[in-house]
Amino acid sequence: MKLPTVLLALLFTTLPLGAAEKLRVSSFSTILTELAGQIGGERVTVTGHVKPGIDPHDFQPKPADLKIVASAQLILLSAKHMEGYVNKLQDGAGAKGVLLEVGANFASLKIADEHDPSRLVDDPHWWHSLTNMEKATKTVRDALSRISPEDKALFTANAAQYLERLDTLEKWSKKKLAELPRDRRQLVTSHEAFQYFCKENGFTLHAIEGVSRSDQPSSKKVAEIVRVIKEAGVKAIFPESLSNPKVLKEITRETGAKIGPELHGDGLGEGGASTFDGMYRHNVTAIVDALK
Amino acid sequence: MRGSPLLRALLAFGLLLLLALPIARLTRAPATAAPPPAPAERAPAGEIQLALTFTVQPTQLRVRHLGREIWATVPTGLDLEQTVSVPFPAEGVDLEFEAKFPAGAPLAALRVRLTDPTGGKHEQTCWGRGEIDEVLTFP
Repeated sequence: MKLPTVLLALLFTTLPLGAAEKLRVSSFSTILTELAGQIGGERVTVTGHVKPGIDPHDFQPKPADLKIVASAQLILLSAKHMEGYVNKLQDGAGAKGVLLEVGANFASLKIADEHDPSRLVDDPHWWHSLTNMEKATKTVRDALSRISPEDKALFTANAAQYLERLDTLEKWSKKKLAELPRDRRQLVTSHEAFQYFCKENGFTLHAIEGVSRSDQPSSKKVAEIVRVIKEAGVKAIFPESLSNPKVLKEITRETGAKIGPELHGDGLGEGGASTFDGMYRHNVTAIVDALK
Repeated sequence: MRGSPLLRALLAFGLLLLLALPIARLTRAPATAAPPPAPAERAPAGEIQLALTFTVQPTQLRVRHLGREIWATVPTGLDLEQTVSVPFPAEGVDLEFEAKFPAGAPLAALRVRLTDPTGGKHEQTCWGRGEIDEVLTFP
C-alpha cells in the first residue's frame, strides 16, 4: 500500500465521519442564537442573522443571509408572526435544513395586529416568560439531537446546565419581585412586548405603542395611560432600547412619573444584557427599583 | 431718514426693551412638569395568621414581607403559628420563607396555611434539602 493511501485509511479510521464538521444553525432571534450556542456547544456553528440592537419586527433577510440559510441544517425562528419573511427562507433560499418555529406551540397571549389593530394575533414575545424559555430549551435540545443523534448526550447535558441556570434566575427573580407590592405592579412601557412577563409576575401592562415601534399611539391611548398613571400613582414608565422617547417624555411631563431605565423587549442587547440571564436581570431590577 | 445715528440707535434699543417682556412670555417653556404622582392608596395593614407545618424540624426560620423581616424564630417543633400584620391587597402578597435544617437532614417540606384579614384561607407547600428559601404568593 502506498504511503498516501495508508494516511487516508488512518484518517478515516481515527476520525468518524462528521466529527470534524460542525452542525450549521441559522437563527433569526438573538435569544435562540444564545440557546443554540449554549446547547450545541462545540458541535455547532450558529449564525445569528438578527443581531443585538436590531428591531426584529422590521428585520428582512438579505441575499447574504439567504445564502447561509440555504446550507444550514437547522433554522431557528421565534414564530408567532415575528418572522413575516418565513416564506422567503423556504422558497427564496431553498432551505433544505429543518425549519423550527420554536414558539409556535407555546400558549399564546393575544396582541393587536400591527397592520389591522381591530384583529388580534399571537403575541410573539414569548421569551419574557421563564416557563416558555424552559420549553424553548427542550425544543432546541430535541431538534439538535434529532439532526445529530450521536451528539445527543452532549446536547442533553448542556441543556440541563442551561435549565439549571434558568431555575436559579427564576428564584432570584421571585425574590427581587417580592420587594414590590403586588398592588403597585403597573408596567407602562413604550411598546407591547411584556405581556408574558406581566402575566407570569402579576403585573398589568400599559403599552404606549402597539406591537411594533412604528405604531404611533393615538391621543386617546395617551390620555388613557395618563389617567392610569395618575390613578395608580405609577412612579415610573419605561422606554425600550430601540424606542423613540418623545411620547414618553410628554407623558412624564403631564403625570410627574419619571422615565425609568431602558428595558430590553425585543431580544438581547449589548454589554450586561448580551445574555438572556443578563437581559432578564436587567429588566427585573429596572422595573422593581423604579416602581417600589 | 433724518436724525443722528446715536438717537436712532437709542430709539431702536428702547423699542427692543419694550418688546423684551412679551417675547420672553411667549417663548418661555410651557407649564412646569407635574409633581410626582401621589402613590395610590395602599391596602391597610391587617392581621394574617400563619400556620406552618414542617416535615423536618428546622434550626431557624425567617419570614419576610417586601424585604422586611416580619417573623424570626428558632422552632421547637414541627408546627408553628404566628399572627403578623401586613397589608393584604386584592392583588395578593408575596411572603419569603427561609428555613435552615440540620446538616444531613433529608428533603423537607413546608406547608403554609394563611388566613387573610377577611377570614379567607390559603395554602401553599414548598420543598428543600438543607434549606428552604422560597417566595410564596397568596392567594
